[in-house]
Amino acid sequence: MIFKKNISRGLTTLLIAGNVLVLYYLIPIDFILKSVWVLLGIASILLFTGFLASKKNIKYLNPLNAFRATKHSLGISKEMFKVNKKYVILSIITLTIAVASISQAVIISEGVQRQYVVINSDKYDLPTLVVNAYSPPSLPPEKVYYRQITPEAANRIDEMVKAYKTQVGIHTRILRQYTVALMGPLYTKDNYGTYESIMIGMSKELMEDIWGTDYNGIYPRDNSSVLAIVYPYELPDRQPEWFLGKSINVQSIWKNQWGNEEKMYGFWNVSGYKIINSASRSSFLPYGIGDVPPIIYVVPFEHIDAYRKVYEDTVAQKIICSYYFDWQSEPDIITFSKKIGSLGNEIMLHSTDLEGPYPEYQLNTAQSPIQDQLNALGSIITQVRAILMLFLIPIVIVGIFLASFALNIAEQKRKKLIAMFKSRGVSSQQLKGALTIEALFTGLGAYLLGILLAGAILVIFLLLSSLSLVKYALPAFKTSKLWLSSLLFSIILSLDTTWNKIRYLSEIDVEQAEQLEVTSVPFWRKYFLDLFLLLLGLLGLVGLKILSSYHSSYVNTEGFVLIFSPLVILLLFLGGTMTFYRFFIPFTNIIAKFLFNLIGSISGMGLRSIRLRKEKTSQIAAILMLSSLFALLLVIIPPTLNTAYNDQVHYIVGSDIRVSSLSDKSWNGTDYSIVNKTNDIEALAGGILIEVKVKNELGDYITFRILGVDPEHFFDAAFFRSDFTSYPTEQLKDYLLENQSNAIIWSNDKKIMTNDFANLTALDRINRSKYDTYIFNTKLTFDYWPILLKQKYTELGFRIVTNINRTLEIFHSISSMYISRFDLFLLVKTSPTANLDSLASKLRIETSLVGDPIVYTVSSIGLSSKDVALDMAMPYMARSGLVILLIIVFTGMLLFGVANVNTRKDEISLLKVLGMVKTQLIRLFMSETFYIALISVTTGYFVGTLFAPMFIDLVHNSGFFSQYPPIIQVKSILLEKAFYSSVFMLTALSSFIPIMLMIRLKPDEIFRKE
Amino acid sequence: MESNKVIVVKNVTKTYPSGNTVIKALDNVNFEVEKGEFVLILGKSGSGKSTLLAALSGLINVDEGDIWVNGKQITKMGEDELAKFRRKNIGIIFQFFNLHEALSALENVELPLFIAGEPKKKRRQRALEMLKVVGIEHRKTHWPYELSGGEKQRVGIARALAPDPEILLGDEPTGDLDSETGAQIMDLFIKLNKEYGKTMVLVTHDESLIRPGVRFLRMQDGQIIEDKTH
Repeated sequence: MIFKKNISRGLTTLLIAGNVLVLYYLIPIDFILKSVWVLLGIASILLFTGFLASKKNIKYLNPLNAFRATKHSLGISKEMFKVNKKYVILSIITLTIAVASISQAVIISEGVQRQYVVINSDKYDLPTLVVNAYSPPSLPPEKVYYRQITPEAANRIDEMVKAYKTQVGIHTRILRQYTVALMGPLYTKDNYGTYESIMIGMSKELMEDIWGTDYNGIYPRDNSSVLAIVYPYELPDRQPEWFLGKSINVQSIWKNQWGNEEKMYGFWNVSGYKIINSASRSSFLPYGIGDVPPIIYVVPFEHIDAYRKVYEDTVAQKIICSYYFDWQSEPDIITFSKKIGSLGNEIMLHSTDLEGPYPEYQLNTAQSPIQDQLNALGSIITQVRAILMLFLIPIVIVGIFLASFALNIAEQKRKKLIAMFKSRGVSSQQLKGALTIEALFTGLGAYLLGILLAGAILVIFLLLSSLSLVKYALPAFKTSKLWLSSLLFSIILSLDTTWNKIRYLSEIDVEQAEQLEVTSVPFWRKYFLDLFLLLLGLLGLVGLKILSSYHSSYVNTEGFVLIFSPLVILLLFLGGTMTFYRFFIPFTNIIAKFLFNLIGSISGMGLRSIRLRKEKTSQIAAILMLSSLFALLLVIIPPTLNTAYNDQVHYIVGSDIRVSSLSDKSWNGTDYSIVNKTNDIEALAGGILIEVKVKNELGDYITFRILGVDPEHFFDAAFFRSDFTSYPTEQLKDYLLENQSNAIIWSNDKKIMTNDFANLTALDRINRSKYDTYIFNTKLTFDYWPILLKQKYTELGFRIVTNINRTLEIFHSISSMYISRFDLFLLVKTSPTANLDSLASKLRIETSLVGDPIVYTVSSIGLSSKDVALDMAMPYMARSGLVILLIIVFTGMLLFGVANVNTRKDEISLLKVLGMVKTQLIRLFMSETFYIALISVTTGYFVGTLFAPMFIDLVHNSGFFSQYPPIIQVKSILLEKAFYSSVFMLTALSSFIPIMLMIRLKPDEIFRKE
Repeated sequence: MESNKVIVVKNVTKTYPSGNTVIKALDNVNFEVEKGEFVLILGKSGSGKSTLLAALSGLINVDEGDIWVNGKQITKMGEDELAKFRRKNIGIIFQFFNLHEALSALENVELPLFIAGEPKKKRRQRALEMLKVVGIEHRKTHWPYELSGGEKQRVGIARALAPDPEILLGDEPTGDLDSETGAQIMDLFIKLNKEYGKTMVLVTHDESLIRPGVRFLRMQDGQIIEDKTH
């Protein structure tokens, strides 16, 4: 055991016990996990305090002994601090930066959640959600009233949900993230009364927990949270009748204007990714009653705004839902609904405290529908949090390294001081205690300062962007996660970096202290310890991954992951860097040699430096390591996110797409290029973006942008439009005229009402000449279509290329969303279980065009939406993370620069004595620093790229961090430019103080050298 | 100032603060050195001899008085000006050699020439010549750690000679050598003085280094208490 005396035991006992208590009360985890944690704490106490080693040590359990010894050590510690103030302050500063990094990430992640909620509200002057409560079709509802979600309300609802979680026992991780986002009571008024419905968002995991992970067909299949609207009414006693997996009858009760209860049987359409309640269509209702207030609406977060916008100009009901159940085998929907219902009731009760009155719905005309859709698809929360969590790990690593290095510097300088204390009669144990106390105070000081620093930087950045954003991030300071994680990190880091040093320094004797060189540690012990730490960290990583992928109703595995993630990271870094450093010294030596040769030749020194002093090698290796980490930080995100992005939302267009001209010249599918590929069918709901470049007769390329959407979804959505009877082509026409876009309507498998296209003839022929419009059809469903209409539209300048076989509702529903953005509408019918390969095979377009073959460029609509979301989110939050990063690296380079000058005093003095002037010295130093930074940063770039998947994997699977994979694509080009320019900047800035030290160095000290 | 006087020290005083008191390292020092002269500055530890040498090198500023070296008033020069002046006019030899560990013997000798901006070929040639003068050209490619104490000092001397300075200053140049090696180094100094006409000013506490014809200044408490020629 490391510590065998009562001081260490006493302090360790206090530390671990305190840690256990803090976690016990602050983290809302279940009883089993709490019990396990307490047991772990007891075991840790026994282990670290050495009680397991010998029974004789039991006497040291007496806390009084520990306190007495601590008192003595406290006095020594005070005296040491007086003499050694600057090193303690240095340690606090470096630790503060490290703690600030983790604190800021936590603050931002907590704040972003709220920010998203409110941003949407502010942005659109609407609540973030649009809820729909249906009224009987014979009594069309008036406009839906919306409620603006205030941050206070969001916070309050957050608290309610937390309390609910504790009572009901729902797993924290499930409702942790976006549950209370997009909340609020919404009222719809009809002629008979008021409907109330409450919305909550719930994650996919919650749904899986309710229905089971092996629940075949559980939706939504994407990884986002879903929104559930909970109707506060009790479900009927009667079991819903299931229609062969297709639909369900639901009885709902509401009050009419006379206060009487009315009952309604609803019809739920259940298929794929679509709205459940299709009761607005009387033809679907067996009883002809009409709409039934829905019980649950579920829709992915990403699509909420999009769905809302679809119906923005109607008084009807807005979306929202997408659920698929295997009704026949799963009765738990009732249990789930009851649970949600009770939650909804509670929320609704509290929601009466929220501010009113309810404003009338105002359409935000400033925002285009498609922009809204793109934003929703971008999923701001996920993106920003993902970025920040990716920042977190490398920042933590750099922070640890920095703190460790700074404390190492302090240790070297303190050997003589400690020897001096020893010569005065202070025992090793007292010194250990003093150093431990110092480490604890350092950690605590850094803890508080770190949180303040992180908060200050974030607030500054938020203030720079928008004053309103600040209030949404500050509530994060109330979260236990912030304070707890920062405390754990700070204390662990502080103690860890001084653990071995404490033991070594306190056992140093006077003679040893007079030696300049550090006493060497046995070879086997050096490497064994490093490898042991590394192995422990790797095992921990594997354990975390297993834990995070294991879901259980009884054990909160996420809590374990939450607690142990920082420790694993610490172990990995310490073990990894120590192992790398020690094993690859020769390697770094080679690099250093090369570097000096390079510096020598480029900077004009002309000197050959083959053999380097040991200190230089260490410094260079350390500088290389730090700079590499810095580079890793900056570059880890683009390739990582690219990787994640590539796994998420790309599409492949099948190889059988063909476009042909009216001249019947066919074109083969080999003439297009596929940009990206994805297997995620969910992206269908957002659409596929296909860019088609077609050469016309003149040799010019005409670009068509094709949006592919899920017709199944929009088909059902269209049912609920109250303006169903209006001619959607009017709208299409307007959009075409306004946006001068190319419109191609393509579909298969669905009927289309041909007379709607007749309205296209109303288009101004002059305007028509400004752009091309192609109408693609696949299947002929109407006999007269190809003959009459084709002729008609050809005369108008349309090129009829395929058969359209789709209901106009779909066309209408998508046109309002996409027409302004896209040039071609590609409606693809899919089944819920279809993968994209089958999708691709469905994209068979047979067209004919005059001219050269077409080049297809296929990308995901997500790309553009991500760009939008990136523009919105990055400037505020991510930059504050970058500031922390730059501070860390700057400080590190500064410290290295200072250390560089300090250890080379004699060399600098010699050069001065031999006649080197200030400018020469500065040039020498700057060139060294610059080339080291440049080479190591470049190395780190590739290292970052290499290890990026591992980091993203850890982020993704660790319960401590976001459980949603990052889907944003950072503009890596910009980052690379900033990346390399930062090398120059940091070199210059961090060299300032070392250069000043160097210039002020008195060369006459060389005469006094001993 | 007379042209044959390469060093003139007039009323030079240098103090250092020590807690609440002030220590006078040099107290109204006055002396002159003629061209080609060999001067030893003797004194015990703390007598001020190293301080005097540092002042003569221009490495420290004096509080009072003036110092002329080779006709230039170095007490009025700025730091960079002094550095440039040192390059060409003063060669310094240290007690602990102060060789650059990352450079070979030859490269160490080249170092001042490089700093002065000499082209590579020329400085290489000059360095080889100087190594020959001091008698260790056969060790030109060796690293400092491979050299003995005497050899290191010879390299140090060669480095001091490389820019062909008028004056050579030595701070306890034999202090870290055994008596035999020290005597050899002393002989080398005498050779440099007699054959190459270098003005030598050496600081030492070792009275055994006094040779016939060598002038010595004895210092005590920052003052020159004796100025004789042996």
